[in-house]
Amino acid sequence: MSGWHLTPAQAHDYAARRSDEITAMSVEAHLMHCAPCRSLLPADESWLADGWASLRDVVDRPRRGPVETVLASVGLRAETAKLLAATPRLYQAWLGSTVVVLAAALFAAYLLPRGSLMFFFLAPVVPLVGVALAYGRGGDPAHTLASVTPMAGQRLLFLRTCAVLVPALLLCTGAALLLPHTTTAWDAVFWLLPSLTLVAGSLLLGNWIHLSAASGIVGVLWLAVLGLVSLSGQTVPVGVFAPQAQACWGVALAVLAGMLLLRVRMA
Amino acid sequence: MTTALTGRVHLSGVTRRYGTRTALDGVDLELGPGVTGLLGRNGAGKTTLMRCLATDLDATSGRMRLLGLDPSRAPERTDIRRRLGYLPQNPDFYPHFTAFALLDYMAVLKELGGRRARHDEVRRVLRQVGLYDRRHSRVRRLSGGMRQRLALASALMGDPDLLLLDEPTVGLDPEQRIRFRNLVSRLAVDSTVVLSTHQIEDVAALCGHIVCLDGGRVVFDGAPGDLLARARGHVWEGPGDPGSGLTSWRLPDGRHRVLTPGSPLPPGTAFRAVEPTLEDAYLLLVGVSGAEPAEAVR
Amino acid sequence: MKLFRRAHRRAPSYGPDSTDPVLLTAIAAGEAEALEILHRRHAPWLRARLNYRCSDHDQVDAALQETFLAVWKNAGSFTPRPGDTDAGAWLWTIAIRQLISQLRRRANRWISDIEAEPYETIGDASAEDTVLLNIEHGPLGAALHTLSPELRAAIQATVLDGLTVREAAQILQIPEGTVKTRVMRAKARLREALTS
Repeated sequence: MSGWHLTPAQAHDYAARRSDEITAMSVEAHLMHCAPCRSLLPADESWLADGWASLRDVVDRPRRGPVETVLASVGLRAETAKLLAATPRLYQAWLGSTVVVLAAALFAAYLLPRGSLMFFFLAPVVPLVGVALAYGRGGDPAHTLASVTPMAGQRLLFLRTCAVLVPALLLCTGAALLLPHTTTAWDAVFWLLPSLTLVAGSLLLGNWIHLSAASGIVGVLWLAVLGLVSLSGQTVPVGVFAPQAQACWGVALAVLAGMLLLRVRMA
Repeated sequence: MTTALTGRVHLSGVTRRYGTRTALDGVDLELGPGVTGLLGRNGAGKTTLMRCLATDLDATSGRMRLLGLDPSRAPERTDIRRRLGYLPQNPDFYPHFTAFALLDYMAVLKELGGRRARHDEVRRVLRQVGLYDRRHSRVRRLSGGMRQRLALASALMGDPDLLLLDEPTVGLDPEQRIRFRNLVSRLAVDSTVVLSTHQIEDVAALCGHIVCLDGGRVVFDGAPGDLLARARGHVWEGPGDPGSGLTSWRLPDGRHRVLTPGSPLPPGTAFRAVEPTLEDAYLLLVGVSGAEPAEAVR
Repeated sequence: MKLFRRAHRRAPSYGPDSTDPVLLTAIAAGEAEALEILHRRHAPWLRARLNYRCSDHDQVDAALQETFLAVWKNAGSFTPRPGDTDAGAWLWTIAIRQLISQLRRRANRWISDIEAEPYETIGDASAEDTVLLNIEHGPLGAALHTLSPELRAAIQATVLDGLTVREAAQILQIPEGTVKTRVMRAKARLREALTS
């Protein structure tokens, strides 16, 4: 290497874009290989700190799981996606609540005649109760930490119910498709679908009004639909759960998903 | 002004029952900024009181105001929780989460908004408790003391105005305990910190205010100096075992230390009154059941 | 992939005085602090140099951000030449290419990003180019003065910055053929000036 090095004045001129073209070229050719001269360039501390902070934000953070990435790309808020995706990762509680929800659905499908009133009042509530129990003091190891956060309570319960119902529903539907002659699995699906729609609907409505009010409205709507169907001549509101009606539930879910996307677009 | 300084936590006649058992019995308290030490033997109601303060339990009867808000009303309770840090007794975690991911998850639950701000806050508390280098380790690979510090970090997130620490120094080595004390005393400049513990040394080092519970009732509420003043003239040292059902223990040099709760009479001429420690004062206050005084403390 | 790499590589011990190769090995093992040291060491001069290529500070900052993210992802692909303890040249090739793709993205957002060539140090320059890289000593500086700004820019992009003809054409916004002829003419002029 030659003995040629930058003077501090040259380094400052270069960093301030005051060097002429030829000087800049020789400075650059030299800097590429000379670490001591590089350190002569003035460092803008606040710029460095800013740059590192935004770099670190990408480089140093918990890895996003695939589920979280998918949920976020579908348009859920990043925080909601994190909570939902974390839910199956709290596997004990999640497994517990899935088992409870599935068992309740299958039990109901077996034992309760589809026409009975109890069926209609319980359908949306049973999964919620199951999830609440499973994520309670016994099931969720970090329950004591999570239960005194502002998110705890209804919102967390509803979010977790979604995270339990969607896989449970997929399982039931899968089972129903694989066993064409069993109606039980389909019945279980009928149990879960209204619950999911109502819970998801409340959460969505909760973006604009308080969540308790939102779930109240959704609950009243549910009762109103039941009432209308039974008034419309059918002795039992079985129509709400008939296969044709399931299409309506599907449509309702699709509309919810659409609204979710719309909200993301607007945001 | 008065409410700002002393009205952070206000309890009047708070009672909590589990079935027929009464865990808290008419507790009146007024806590302001600074560290309050909560003492009492096991089953005295400390953890129940902490859980009430943490909005985890409702009072069966009585009135509570936390940070000027009423925890029995849902919206106000949520507001309290936004400004609350709680380290529960024997905290448990999700073992497969990394330390960073766990705190990130807790931060979402605490509604600390914005990804970058949230991550910065997680890093800040991890540095505070000295776990920054282990942030990408899974919880199951952390030692007991590290988990305890992780729980502390979780409580510290969001700079809470009310910080509740239930047995925070369990599992910490002496050096970490010093760090913990420094951290808490810095925080206590403008937050209200409640420290429930059996470690009298921590109380002596940190607390400007002591509350002592026994059988669900407040048996002492005041400054450490007042507690010491009560014990003065009831602590003695001398040769030989005084026997006769008094609380006493053998010192390393073979002499005995004796506590005389009732009359300030020395049990023998060879005994001399000595300056009480906070531990003596606490033992005199709650009494010692059985013959092994050390066991009630440790 | 990264998980695999991180699980199996142990990070060497490193500090603010470690050499670039040591830091890059640590970065490849997932040490964010090593990246911080490298960033502190190299970001200022890379920024100054990029500022001579692009006057938009936001674009330069964005390119630098991408540069260090690329370093984070590709630190394992850095292979120092024996005895070389400096990653400056390697970092520069990444930085200038990130700037080009940044400018390209800005120019036509709808065209999908063309994958950049793998990062290689410009160690394979011809003997003549090596002479040109030693501008700071010898009569080359004077010779460069005799070149027109266009010819100088072509030499700068291809020889000094180590860009391919296509990349040089992109950053200079002239056709590739023009780059080639300008570089040829510039080299001929310089040879003339240096031998005369």
